[in-house]
Amino acid sequence: MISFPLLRSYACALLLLAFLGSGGQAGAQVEDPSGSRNADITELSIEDLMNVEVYGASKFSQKVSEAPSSVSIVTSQEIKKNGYRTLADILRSVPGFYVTYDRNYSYVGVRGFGRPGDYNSRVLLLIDGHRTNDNIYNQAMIGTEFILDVDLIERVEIIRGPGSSLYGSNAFFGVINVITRRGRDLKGNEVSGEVASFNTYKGRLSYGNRHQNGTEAILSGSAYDSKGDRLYFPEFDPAVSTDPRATNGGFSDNGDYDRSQKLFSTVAFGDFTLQGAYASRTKGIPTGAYGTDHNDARNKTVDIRSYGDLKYEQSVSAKIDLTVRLFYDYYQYTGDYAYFMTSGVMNKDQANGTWLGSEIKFVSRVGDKQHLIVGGEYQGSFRENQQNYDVDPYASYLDDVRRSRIMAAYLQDEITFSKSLILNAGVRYDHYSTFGGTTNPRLALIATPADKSTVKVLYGTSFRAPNDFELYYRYPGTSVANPGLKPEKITTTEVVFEQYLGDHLRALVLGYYYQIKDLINYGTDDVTGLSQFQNLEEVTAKGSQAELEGKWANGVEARISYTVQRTKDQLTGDPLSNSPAQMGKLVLNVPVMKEKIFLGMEEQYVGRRKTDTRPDGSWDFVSGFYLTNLTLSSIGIMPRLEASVSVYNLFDKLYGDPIPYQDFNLPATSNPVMTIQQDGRSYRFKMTYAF
Amino acid sequence: MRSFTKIVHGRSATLVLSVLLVLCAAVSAAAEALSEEQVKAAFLYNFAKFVAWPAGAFAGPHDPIVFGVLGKDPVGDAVQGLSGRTVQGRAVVVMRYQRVLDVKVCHVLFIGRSEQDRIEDDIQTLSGTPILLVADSEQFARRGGMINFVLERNRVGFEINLESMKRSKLVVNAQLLKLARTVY
Repeated sequence: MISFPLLRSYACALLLLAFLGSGGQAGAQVEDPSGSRNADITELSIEDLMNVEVYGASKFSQKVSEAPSSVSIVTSQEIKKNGYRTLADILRSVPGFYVTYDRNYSYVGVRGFGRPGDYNSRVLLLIDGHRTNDNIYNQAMIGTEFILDVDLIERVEIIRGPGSSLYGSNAFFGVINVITRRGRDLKGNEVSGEVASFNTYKGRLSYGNRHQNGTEAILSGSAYDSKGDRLYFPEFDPAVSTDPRATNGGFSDNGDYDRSQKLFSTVAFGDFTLQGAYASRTKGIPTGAYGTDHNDARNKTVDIRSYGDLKYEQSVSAKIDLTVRLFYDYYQYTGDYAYFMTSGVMNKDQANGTWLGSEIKFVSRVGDKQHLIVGGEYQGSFRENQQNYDVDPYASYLDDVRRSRIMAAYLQDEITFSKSLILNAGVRYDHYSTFGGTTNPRLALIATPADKSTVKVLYGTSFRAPNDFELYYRYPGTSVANPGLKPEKITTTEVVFEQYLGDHLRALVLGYYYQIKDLINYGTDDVTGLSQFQNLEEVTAKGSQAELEGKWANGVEARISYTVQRTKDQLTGDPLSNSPAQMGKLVLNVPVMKEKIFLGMEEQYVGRRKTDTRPDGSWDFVSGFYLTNLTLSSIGIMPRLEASVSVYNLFDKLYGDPIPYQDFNLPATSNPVMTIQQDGRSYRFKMTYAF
Repeated sequence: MRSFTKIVHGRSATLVLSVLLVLCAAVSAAAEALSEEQVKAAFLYNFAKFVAWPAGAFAGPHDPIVFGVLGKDPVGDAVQGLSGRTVQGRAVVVMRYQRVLDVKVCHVLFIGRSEQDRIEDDIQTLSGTPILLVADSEQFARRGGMINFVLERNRVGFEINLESMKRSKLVVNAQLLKLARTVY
């Protein structure tokens, strides 16, 4: 008998063939020069024409194929058509990316690298060019903790590979740049409401416009409230577990709640753009993480993040553009951890960060052949505080106060030798007050041997500066700080081949080899015998990826990709934990009714992954899984109303994500939580009205 | 330790198949949206409504208005469809040109993708003549062309070089300038 996952992959392949056939035909029809349908659209005014969404070959903008990396773009339309709720949902759909959720934060995995226990510090997350990774954990927040409401995203650009030559730290495996909607995209007010499974509600009110005098503004506020699921943990079921915290039949009744409030605004006047963002998110921790009490809704984290960013853009001359940026950032984290069952206290873990920065950048076209970028950055962190204490009786375990600064300068030159050969070379020097200097180059050779083919050969290095948590966090009797940590280093070689097939299909094949050195992980301090972050590991990662993307004039869009990757810890020879060797993705958007109703279908496959290693050296495997999501959306049935219905995990697939072994503070349990079960089938209904 | 065993639902397979059937049906029944080329042709038609040509550009009050396409471009076929309509009381005639020297009597000229490498020479050759020069090429308006299409967020917009238009004695309606993304 054919197993079900196999059957499903056959079905997907058949489906792909089916739509390639019919889509291709439809495309041919549109190119029919009879012009019969031109009759309709020439009657439209220019203003109306400017609002018509078009599908065509040049939608694959030239810039993507000329970029010195492999780039994926997810647009606001795709976000709507596929019912993506968070940036994490968006990243899950991107070839080669996977997301792990521990029911507290979401973590992005790239190139087979998503180690449990690491924060999202090896991917740089930008909003309109503003760095969002904070100054204590350097974490890219991608789940409900993301500072921006997903509805305000115009598009997301995912740039794979090392980006330190332009962006500095954290651009280790890639850069995610989120471009927000502008006032002109709204032209008035928008109100949006969502109802979803697990008693989830969301509301948003936005205003945006561009005025005659050129001033443009967008202002938006949203609130989100989810009660969350009632979750079962066999590890805490008194019937099958001897864990001292086992209670309530293993159920966590009210612990999975998730609440957030977000504000966002961009105002553009003349050459200035001022952007402000604020988000506060409270997430219950239902998993008994860090040895906390089971089924106690007081376990939670609160993350408050905000920033203000003032950008000045000016053409100094016909050939030189200048950008100056000033920013102020704030981050506060508070974790409430209930230990009443084991030690009778409430423990609080806190971090406070404030930083100021500036950036100056010149972009210059030297003749037609060269495109030069020169820039400098300064970032001063004047608060980087970490605290840990018991509330009652009060006992302080950590009170760490720091300051630091970063200075950097970079240079990138893109030289067009001929129409078919471009060299992109860049280098950046960063100086950290913590560890000193690091220089990171990138070289990219982009050849276009034929009209529709592009070959890119890429070489580069990147770094990740040790974050404050790794440098200074310590807990008496358990761990000691290591202020002498060096940055992690990665050296990468990558080859990308892109081929356009006719006007509607794009194929991409890539292969990469990464060498990572001085990877930071928990080790043992020689002096005290306590655990400590150390530059311990060396890892190699290699893999390849194939993508096929199609966009047709009839509105059918599809992308299918398959990724094979291997990671290897050079010390042990084992693959890394939470590193799927295989992944597959299918995204298919089909108009059911002309420009009015769309069906979005997603199929995701993540291969089996190792869990984290227990103190005794053992680990398990988490089975691979297939996920299917469906969204039916109406964008034009009523002129000002958009509505959508989504089903996530359509087949109610039971699957889990590996989390770190972290019960190190606790009386040892033989059965620690190593895997967190993910949501089963769930629904969302959403309506947006513009007025 | 929970284990996540593969669960095979017979029911699920049926569901998948029915979803596939629905999708395939949907794909083949999918109505066609507008192609970028058609939208651009419609733009060209509209531009002509907002531009006034100098006195000598037309021989007589009832002479046709000539829409030209220079070189090869998918937009060309869509422009062909404009033939027979009227703008400013003049019948639209569509001409295709292989080389820039073939362009003689023309009012709106779309410079096709195949001219990419020669575009600056083309601008040079045609500058000063009362022809509205439109292209779809980065930097076209900046380099002395008149109107350039830009594709942003799946929508077609345009930028205008007012200086070039003035040089060719073309008068552009303020309405059109207001809608341009950039005016050089």
